[in-house]
Amino acid sequence: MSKIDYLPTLQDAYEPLLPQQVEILRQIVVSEGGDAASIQSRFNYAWALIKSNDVNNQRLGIKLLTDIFKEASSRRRECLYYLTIGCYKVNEFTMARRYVNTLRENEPNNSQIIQLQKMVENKIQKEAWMGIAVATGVVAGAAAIAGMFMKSKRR
Amino acid sequence: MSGSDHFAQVKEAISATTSILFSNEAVENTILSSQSPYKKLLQKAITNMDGDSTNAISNLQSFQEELDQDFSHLEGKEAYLRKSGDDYFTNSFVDSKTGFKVMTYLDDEILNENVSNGKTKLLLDGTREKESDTTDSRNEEQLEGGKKSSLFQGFEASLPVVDKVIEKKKATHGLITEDKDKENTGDFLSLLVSDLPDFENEKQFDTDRISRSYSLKYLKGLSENIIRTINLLLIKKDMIDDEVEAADKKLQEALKKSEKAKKKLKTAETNELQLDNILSLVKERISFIEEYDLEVETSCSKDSENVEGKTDEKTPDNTEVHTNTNLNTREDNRDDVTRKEEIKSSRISHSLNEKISSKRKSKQNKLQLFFDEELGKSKKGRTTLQHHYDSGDNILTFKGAHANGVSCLDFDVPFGTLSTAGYLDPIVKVWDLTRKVQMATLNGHMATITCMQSSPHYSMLITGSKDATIKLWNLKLASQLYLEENADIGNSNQSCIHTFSSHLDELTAISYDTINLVSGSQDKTIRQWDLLSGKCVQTIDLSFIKSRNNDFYSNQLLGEKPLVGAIQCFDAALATGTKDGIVRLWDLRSGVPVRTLEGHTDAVTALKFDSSSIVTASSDKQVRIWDLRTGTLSNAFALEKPITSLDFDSTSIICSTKTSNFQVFNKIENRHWNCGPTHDSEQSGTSNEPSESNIITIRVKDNYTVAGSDDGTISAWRV
Repeated sequence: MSKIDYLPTLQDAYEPLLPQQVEILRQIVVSEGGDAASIQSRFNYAWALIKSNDVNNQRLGIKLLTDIFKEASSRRRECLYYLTIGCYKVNEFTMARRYVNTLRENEPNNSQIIQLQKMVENKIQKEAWMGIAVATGVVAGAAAIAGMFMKSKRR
Repeated sequence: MSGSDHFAQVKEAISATTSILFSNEAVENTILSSQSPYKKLLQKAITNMDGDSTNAISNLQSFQEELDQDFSHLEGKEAYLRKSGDDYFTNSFVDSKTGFKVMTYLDDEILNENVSNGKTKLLLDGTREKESDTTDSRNEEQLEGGKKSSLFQGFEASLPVVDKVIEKKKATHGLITEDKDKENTGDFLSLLVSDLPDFENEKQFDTDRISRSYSLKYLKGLSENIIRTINLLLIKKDMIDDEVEAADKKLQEALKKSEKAKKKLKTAETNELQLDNILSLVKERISFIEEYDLEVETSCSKDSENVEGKTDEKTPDNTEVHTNTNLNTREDNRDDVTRKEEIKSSRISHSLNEKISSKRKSKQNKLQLFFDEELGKSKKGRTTLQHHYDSGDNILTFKGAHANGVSCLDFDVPFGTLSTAGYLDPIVKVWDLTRKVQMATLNGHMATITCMQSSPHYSMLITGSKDATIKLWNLKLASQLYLEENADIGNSNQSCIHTFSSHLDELTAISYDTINLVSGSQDKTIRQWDLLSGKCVQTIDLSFIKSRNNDFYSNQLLGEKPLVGAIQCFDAALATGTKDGIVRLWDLRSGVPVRTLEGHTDAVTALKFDSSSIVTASSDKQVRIWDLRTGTLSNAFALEKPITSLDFDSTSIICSTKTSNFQVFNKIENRHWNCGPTHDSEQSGTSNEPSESNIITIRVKDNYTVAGSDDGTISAWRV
């Protein structure tokens, strides 16, 4: 890779860093004064957390990103992108959809965003299908029980 | 309760929960998640339904409040101090998932705000990304220069640095201790982090090897490597740029804050000073009354004051008493009352005069008494209020203070007491520089007052006049008498403690130090006085001094210059500047000049010395700064017009040249500038032209300057 992409792909979020690296990034933020640290250092730590495999760390990373989003108005658009990826990773698809939809509204022609949106939608549909499956199962079960009940009653 | 009622209550409970936490979506997760406190509460609400559903809902609401508190507490937690996200989002009420959702939830408003703002830069479109990928060159990157690199790029760029830190750590710390003491490693890490090797030369590319190499593969690989490094550097540059921007922003905000705070401080200090002055006034009044034993009469005088102020109110009282009597008697009565008051007040003032004078008479040595009384009474401390003004700011102005122009002035401390005197006007006016009002008049001289000095230690003023006398005034008593506004006292010079009257001609310069007072007069003598006894202890004859400028006409036309233009004494040292342009340093014990400083070509008009140097100003337009130890010239500068007055403090020398501005020479920065009503750079060049208000006399103390002009204006400046 000769050049660093402007934005990470979804794949990037699934490549965890070494815990040592994360720890150093955290130390940088702490040494710069926690909340007063520069946006970049805070983002570094947040992104490192999101890349990790632990759900709680990912969530903390999203929380930090949300703070950055609130604080740095000039970085909001990119932050939304990262937030979408983060939420996608922690399986918060409704949140991810919300973010990516907002992004899409503002940049309707960005292929990266379109791609991301597609992936999020796909996931949600899958979930929905699963939900329907579960629901139908439940209904079927209930019907069966009701049927049995009726039967027994009839008797 | 009917079933439909139940149903409605359950609905209510659910909607309450949802509205508490989330505005529209993602509710199902909260409610469905196992062991959620919401669920429990909801269950409770449902099961307790037949009891009192309202109670359940109020329960929910109180729960919300607790939740809010809990989260606000959480927000305060230092997210970065945690090693991991474990249980960061959990608390007594919600599991981590719900907590996470609450804390990362973004309002629609904030979500859409600024995102759609034109200012925010566009994300790089994927297609364009590909283009730049193919060209692979640095120029392309620069062409797109308008856009800054993303946070993600910054992240990727900073990873190598992190790796470097890890390498360094391993190198220095060794692998063994790594796991043993984690806290120590943390400290160590923070140490390492504090001096990040951010911008070491990334990689040393061997130029020799490049020139020697014929392998295309190697060179291509190298070029890619270099391009990559350059890209990294560009991103890093952007990162730093951002950091600088953010820091600058913060700096600006901090500056604004400090400006605001300074303004507040200024007003606060002004108020404090004013109140301080009023307090001292009250205290003075009390001691004045006690001293002259006026307490009994005070009650009467109070009454009389009351009557004066509230005659209208008192008369109705009288009328009430006499409602039954006829109108005539009532009027008589009123007349009686007023008449009585007149008698009373006149008696009071009379007795006050008597009391004061009797007290004066009872003690033979008024001077001794004055200094005894004043001893231990410390004046108020140094003020720093003037430092809140910008250099060159006008602090205050009194217009038309003296009808024929200000002849001389002096003040004790910045924002303290200012005394001024005018030409053809034997009255000294005393001003309160904080409250910006006149606080006393000193009436007693018979002719124009030419010189004065006030004391920062005693509330006294020494004035020298053309009537050949020097008077020492008690300013406290004067201000009390001024407050009395009594015509009888106004005429008498009660506040004059002593008159030194041995000179035969008009006074031109006076100076005092502790107990010594020296005065220079047109009778060609300098006299030294003992302030405690009020007696003349030494007379120095200056009749040997001849005027350098013997031109009769010029003397007649321009007015005769004073023989002793300036004088200052300190302990046994005395410096005089005379008409012949020579500055003499005298030893008061022997009464002979120990050193003469020659150089001025015209009459010396002003001088002042401190422990190391003496600054002299002359009609020859020059200011000379002499070294006192060697007696040589250490600095000199010339102005455009003859200098009329000069003073200096620790930082600057200021001179007045009978123009609308006065000249300031900053000793520390070695810089000249003009200060005054027209001190703009454009107009300073035209300051030679006679304007309406020309500054004649000037004094400075601790960056606080007071200038007196020939149109009677007195103004105070920060220099």
